[in-house]
Amino acid sequence: MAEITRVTSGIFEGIRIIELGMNYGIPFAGRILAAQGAEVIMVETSKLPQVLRHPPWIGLAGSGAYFPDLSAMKLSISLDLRYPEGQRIFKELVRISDVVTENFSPEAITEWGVDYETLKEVNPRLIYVSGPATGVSGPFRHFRGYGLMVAGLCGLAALTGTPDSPPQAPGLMPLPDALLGSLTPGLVAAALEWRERTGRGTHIELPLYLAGVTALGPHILDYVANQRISERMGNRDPYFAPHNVYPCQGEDRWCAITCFTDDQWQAFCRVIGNLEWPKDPKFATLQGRKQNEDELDRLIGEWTIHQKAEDVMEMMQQADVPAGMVQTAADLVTDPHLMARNYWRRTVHPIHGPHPNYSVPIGLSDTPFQWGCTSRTIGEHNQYVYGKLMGMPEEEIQKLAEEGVLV
Amino acid sequence: MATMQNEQMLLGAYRVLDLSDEKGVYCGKLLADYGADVLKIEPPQGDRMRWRGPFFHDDVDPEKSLYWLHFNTNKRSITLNLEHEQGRHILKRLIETADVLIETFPPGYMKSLGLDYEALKGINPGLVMCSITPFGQSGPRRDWKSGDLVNAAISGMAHYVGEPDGPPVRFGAEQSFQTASNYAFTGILFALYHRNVTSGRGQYIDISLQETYAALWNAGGGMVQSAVLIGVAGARAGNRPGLSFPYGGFPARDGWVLICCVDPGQWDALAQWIAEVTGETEILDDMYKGRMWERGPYQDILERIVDNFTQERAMEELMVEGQKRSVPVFSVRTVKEMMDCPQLAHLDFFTEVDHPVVGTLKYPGVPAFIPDAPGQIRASAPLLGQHNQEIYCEELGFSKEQLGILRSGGII
Repeated sequence: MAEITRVTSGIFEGIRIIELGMNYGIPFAGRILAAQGAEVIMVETSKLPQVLRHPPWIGLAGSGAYFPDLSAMKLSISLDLRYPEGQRIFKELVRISDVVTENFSPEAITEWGVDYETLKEVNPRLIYVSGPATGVSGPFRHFRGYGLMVAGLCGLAALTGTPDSPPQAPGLMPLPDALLGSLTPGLVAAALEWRERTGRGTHIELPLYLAGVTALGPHILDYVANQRISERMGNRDPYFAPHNVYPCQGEDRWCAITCFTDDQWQAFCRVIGNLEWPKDPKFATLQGRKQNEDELDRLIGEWTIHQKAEDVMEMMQQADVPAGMVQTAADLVTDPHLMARNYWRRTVHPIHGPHPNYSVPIGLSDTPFQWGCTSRTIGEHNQYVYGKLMGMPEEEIQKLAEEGVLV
Repeated sequence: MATMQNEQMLLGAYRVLDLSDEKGVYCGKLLADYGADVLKIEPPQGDRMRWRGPFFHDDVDPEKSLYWLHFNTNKRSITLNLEHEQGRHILKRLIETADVLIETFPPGYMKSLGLDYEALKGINPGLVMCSITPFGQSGPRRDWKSGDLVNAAISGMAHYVGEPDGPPVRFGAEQSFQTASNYAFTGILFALYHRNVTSGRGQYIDISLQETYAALWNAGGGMVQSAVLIGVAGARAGNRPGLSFPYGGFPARDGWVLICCVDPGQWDALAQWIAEVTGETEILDDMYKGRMWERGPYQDILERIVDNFTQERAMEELMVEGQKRSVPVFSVRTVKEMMDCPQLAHLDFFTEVDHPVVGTLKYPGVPAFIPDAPGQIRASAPLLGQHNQEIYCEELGFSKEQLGILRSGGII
């Protein structure tokens, strides 16, 4: 049975996107567009394979853990933009495409002649998306940065972690990239619609830095208005208690419990049963609970440590108290709710075989997101793109490959 | 003035009815900031978010909530009581000319009021309705409750954030809400594009906070693939995931920096810099060269050298000097450093806007520039019911007397 590789129907069928991307942000966005039928062509060169094609970290053989997922439903061509011939071919491809997305350094983009100012002359209807680290211009334009680092620059790391720990910028979870990746597709859709109205393309610049800074919202105003610098609070909340993650039975098992109303607090007390301490008047009010929060958290932990995390979660939710066990990746795969929602799709890793993945978590009723297979080798679709789409004769493709351009 | 069709406003053609709370208010803001006409529909006593801190000068007042002020820029406010039949009737009139409705009520609530998508699309087939809830509209847990911390736990995010010997922690600044709003924004623009270009009809969008948060991390971390295929579940690693060096946080004299030397050249630049400035030449040794995962085995030795170097220096200096030498290093900033950031100044990121109660404040701007159709903070968040007259009288045709009757009847 042939594996479905690309999604060919959907909101963006007939839209062609050239993705000059690496790492997470821009490829993440491309994946969302690909799942609605856009033809997303990744441009790479095997002489400088991108970092995510390598297996550090989790170390799945054959390619990094992330790459199969980020390349899902896309095509790959090999092209070395350091050659003038390569740049010319890129421009020819732009002529017959709708969108270019890129997150290389502004210097590289300019050096290769694939910046917006140049390409809009080639195709005035082109939508061009830049996802630089801090900006395509400005005093930091030359700064090199990855998503994990941007979490520091944008203030998010300073707000993450317990007060006695260093600021957290988890390496395996670059949040700014994910924020950029989830927002960009919407802006591309808006730009495509704008193009219908005006007949012109346009440039969208979404620096990772801004994707991160806008996440801080009220904290910025708190500084502007009150000169207050927010500090990290772990899992606590400035206004509510109990509000934390509590240790449960077993190795590294925890459950979050949060009470935002007096009703929820009373329900919480009923759930934990016949203990004396919840009846202490000092815990009866929110102010009292906040004032005695250390003791409150300790006492709750002394109860939860004897329970299984999933039981705590169930009991609390039955009583309408917001609670959730801290799930691991393995828990997610067997999460009964995610399974009932058909969140998981089957995908096949070229070496390791079948495993679950997910499409896009936006439930569109009439035009649902689809799913296709993952993992592309560089240049896997050279024949299709150069030969069929661009009409290059076979001999020319061969020659350019030999010269190192289509490699 | 239902629409402002204007090339300069990316989303100027759209009217949005925003019934959302924390779970969707940022989505409404994004739409408004890029030009959509967003009506924030509040209950007569005011939206609950007006009572969320922080407050201007710590003054607890529904017109001084900085939370409200940030998330409702550019929106207009009308009050409306949906629990009252006449209130629902008025909403249905507004639906006639709306392009988008965003709501975050518990699943089933809108249906109980006769305001579910099936009913509303009958009034306006072009309507795009987006619901954002903790667990989505279907499934065994659809009625479960959450907040940002529960979202972090149940989506798998928290397990992987925090110190190795510490508890799982959530991201600061309530990222699960921001994430869901980003996805909702994308879903809404997708649905509008499809309507305008292909189908002529709207559709319904079901967003689950658990799923959107899990999706961010799953894609970035590839954890599920690893867990299933090679049984490696991954664990908290603080801000140094290990297996690679340098990739993470290093203490500075006045804070922290984050350094990632992925490529060999970046490592060479860092090693050169440290050797030059400290005289420490061990770090120049050939065995440490290469890509970052090749240095994994030498983490302990190299950590000591780099820590000793960074902790003597200020974080902003490390960043500026390091970047001059092509070393990828960023400081770990708080909001204070950001206000003085020359890059944000260059990007014109902050806008001063006046508000009748708190006066002029500097607001953070939009995440993306689109020079042809820029998003911007044109107006501060509205006062409670500030636009009742504009909408009810000028648009829907109620007289001032009728407005007074609606008000005393508790309908608006």
